[in-house]
Amino acid sequence: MRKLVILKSLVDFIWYVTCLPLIPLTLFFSVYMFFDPDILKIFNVLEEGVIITPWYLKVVTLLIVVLLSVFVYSFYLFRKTLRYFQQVKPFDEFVITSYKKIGNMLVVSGVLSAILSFLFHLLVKSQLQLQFGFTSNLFIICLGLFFLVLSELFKIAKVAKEENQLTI
Amino acid sequence: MSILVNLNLMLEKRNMKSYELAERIGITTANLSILKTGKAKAIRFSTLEAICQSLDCQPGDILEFEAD
Repeated sequence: MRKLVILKSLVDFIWYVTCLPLIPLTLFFSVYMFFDPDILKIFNVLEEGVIITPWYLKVVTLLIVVLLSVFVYSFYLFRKTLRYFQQVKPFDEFVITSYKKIGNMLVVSGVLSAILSFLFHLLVKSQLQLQFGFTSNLFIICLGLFFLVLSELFKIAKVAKEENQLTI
Repeated sequence: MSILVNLNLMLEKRNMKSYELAERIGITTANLSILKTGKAKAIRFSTLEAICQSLDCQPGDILEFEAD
């Protein structure tokens, strides 16, 4: 299980270095933008000469914050399931429900961010932009579906394991 | 469950204890208990053969079908 140790270490590193500081930062950012709209200039949308109302940008930013929170929560659940793998309990009910939850959240957030990106380009920049390549949104949807499939597989494996244990 | 395990009855007839049978057929008493209480999902042919050999009986003496 050396690979699992490497994976857990990497996931822990990402969690402590990226996700944990991100939570207070996004909370601060989402509250502070209502007091100082200049902070939204980091998106570089206002500087490109695109005229948009600040409330519109605030709504978009809030949606991005929500999507980001979903990713952080998914990552948190994934990190937790790795602990079960280390305890050699891969078919635990928690792992199955977590993978299902992660899958659903990733699919929904992937679809929503794709729609959001499309509408943002259409309404704000007046561009009709469709991305069909190896984009992050498609990748996130695929990842979500993969987790859903994995959850179903684990459910089947759990039943098979129970049957095997109860075969005398 | 519609398949009943009459192992207790056979053990009584042969005047044998559960642990003795478990020892003879090479399974744990915990597994034998699972089999006796009807919690088992399946039984291997090798286990059935060993039980029949030890108790000198037929599979039909141990297993019984009961319609729901």
